[in-house]
Amino acid sequence: MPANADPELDSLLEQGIAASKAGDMARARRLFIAALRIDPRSEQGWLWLGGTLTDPDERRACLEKVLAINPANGYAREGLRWLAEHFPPAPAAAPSPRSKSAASPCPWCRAEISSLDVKCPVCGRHLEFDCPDCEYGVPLEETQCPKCGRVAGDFRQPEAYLQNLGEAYFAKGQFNKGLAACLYLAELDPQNPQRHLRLSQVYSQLNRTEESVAAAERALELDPANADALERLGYWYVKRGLTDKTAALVDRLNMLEARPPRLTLVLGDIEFERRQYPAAFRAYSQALVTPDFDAPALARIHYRLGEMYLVAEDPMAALRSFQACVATRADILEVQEAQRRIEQLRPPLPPGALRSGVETLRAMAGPLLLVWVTGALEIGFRFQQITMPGLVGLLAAVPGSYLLASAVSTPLRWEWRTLLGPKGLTQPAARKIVALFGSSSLIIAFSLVLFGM
Amino acid sequence: MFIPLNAGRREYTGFPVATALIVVVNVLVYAWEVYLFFGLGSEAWIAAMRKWGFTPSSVITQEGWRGLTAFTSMYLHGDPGHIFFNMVFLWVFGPQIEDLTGSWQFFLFYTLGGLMGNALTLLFAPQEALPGIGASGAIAGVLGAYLFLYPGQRVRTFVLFIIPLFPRLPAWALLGFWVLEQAIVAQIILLAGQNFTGIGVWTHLGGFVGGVPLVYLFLRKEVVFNRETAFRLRKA
Repeated sequence: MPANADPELDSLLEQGIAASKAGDMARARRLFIAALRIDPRSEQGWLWLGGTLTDPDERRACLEKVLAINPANGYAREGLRWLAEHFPPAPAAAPSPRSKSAASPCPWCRAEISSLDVKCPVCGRHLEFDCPDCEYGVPLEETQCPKCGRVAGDFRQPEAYLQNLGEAYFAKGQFNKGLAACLYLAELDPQNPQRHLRLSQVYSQLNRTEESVAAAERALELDPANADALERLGYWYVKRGLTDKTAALVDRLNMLEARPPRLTLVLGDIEFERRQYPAAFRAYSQALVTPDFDAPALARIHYRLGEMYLVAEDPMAALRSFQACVATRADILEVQEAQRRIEQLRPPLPPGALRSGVETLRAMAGPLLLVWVTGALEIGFRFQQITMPGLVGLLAAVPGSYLLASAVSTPLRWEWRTLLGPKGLTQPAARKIVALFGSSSLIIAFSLVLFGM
Repeated sequence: MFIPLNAGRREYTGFPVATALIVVVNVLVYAWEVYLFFGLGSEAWIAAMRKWGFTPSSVITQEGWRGLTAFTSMYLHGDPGHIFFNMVFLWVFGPQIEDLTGSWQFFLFYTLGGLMGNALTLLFAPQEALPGIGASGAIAGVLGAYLFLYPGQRVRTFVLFIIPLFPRLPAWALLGFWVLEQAIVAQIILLAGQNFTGIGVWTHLGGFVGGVPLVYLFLRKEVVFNRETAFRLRKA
């Protein structure tokens, strides 16, 4: 058999021919049909397909197709001649009804179907689904994919079959195909709220919001306390500004007995969006009692509590809430906003913090002690053993630490203003120079103390 | 036996860089010690400990590196248990203090705590001929600072008392117990006239006692003034 350009086509034709020779005509037929989907002008595909059909008219149609592609095809001519001898075509005046080839009836409605049908011409439902792995069309009567062997299941248990198929589609991100499976499942069991909820989720994935909301509302009609439906609808109603529906949902949430924490959170979020802050505060506080949330949800709760405390003019409580938000370390915008709020809310440094003499002494003491204690240890507290370099080091540490403290910690000390221009040590360059002098002095002092005694 | 596990939330965000670096340096130095011991022999390790450990009697007789060993001894450790417990305590309590001081200031405070520990050892045991090694003095300073700043903070602790327990103990109880333990050992050593325990109890106490007041010198300005402001607000 001459090779085609497409290796998949070759493979399908080879498999079809092998199945035909083995007597499995149904399988051979499907393989040739699949090959013809790839290349509708494949002479071999039409020739061999004709060989698998039992209806003479259908066989004749296939052979005529071959001649349409290649008028010189001898096999097709021979085949047509044979058919004309043994199965003369019916008179044109009385066309016979097109007879169906031997195929299973529609698994949905039991109507007669052709083996070439992809959807039932009577009920319109799928007769085959694409394999999630290889996307090859798998008829419903098959329990596994003819191409890749993936186990499809038994359609005599349609719910399990469709459930398995739908999950496989979703795992591959094929939401459009999964939608069909979900729609059939909802049709099979319309009173099951989970089916409608799943539909709602799939519609949401496909950005078909109206249908998603409608499916969630159906789920809620069937199960008025369904937490997933309440949560989904709550956020949607708020987002779309459906005030009446939101209020009705809030009432429903408030009336729930043993409301789970996630619904308490939903209630809090809805009330916060509606600016009903006392109710939101109650809900969030209740939700925090049983902290069963991940870091982003906790961060959002704390951030919103902080915002509400600000509205209530309680900055200290707001500060604590924002700090709690930051402490969750969630990677969401609210945490960054909370950090910004903390900086705004922290009591500002009093002016004395940058010019106070006490503050300068506090900043000096650490480096000074470090040098002096090192010196004391170097001589074993025997101060009569202090050498001249060591003494210079001990004394040099004082101005060095003072310079460093003034530049870094208290840059607004008055004595520097006139010495270093009108803005004194607030000039960045001047501060850096003084800090450099200070740190250099300290390093020299430290070295003298450590190695000079 | 108890091991602290979690000492609470930090007020400022950011990774505790100084604490992490100190831990890393300690681990690297210990790896060098292991190489000395197993690669060059126990005599090489002992010689290194004598050279770089803090030996009060050598300081008195002005032998060796003296003051420098007050720094180097802080990064040496005697065995895996020694470094393990020191680093666990440092990693649990260190970030809390670094959070309130800033990284550079924390490093200076940590070093000064270690020096204070060595200073007290020199004062109380000037004749000690065994080199003192370990970060215990510096870490004791960190503990002292923590007790000063967070006396009521509850610390998740692993306690092994027949069965393992994980209580949340207040800092004053946990660290107070530790200080009491050190004080009792110190008293016993004083009564015995020599340190037969192998524990650098003066280093621990010196670092701890130094850490309590010294941390104030290194706190961020925001912490100092916010605390004062918060205190005034509470009084008001």
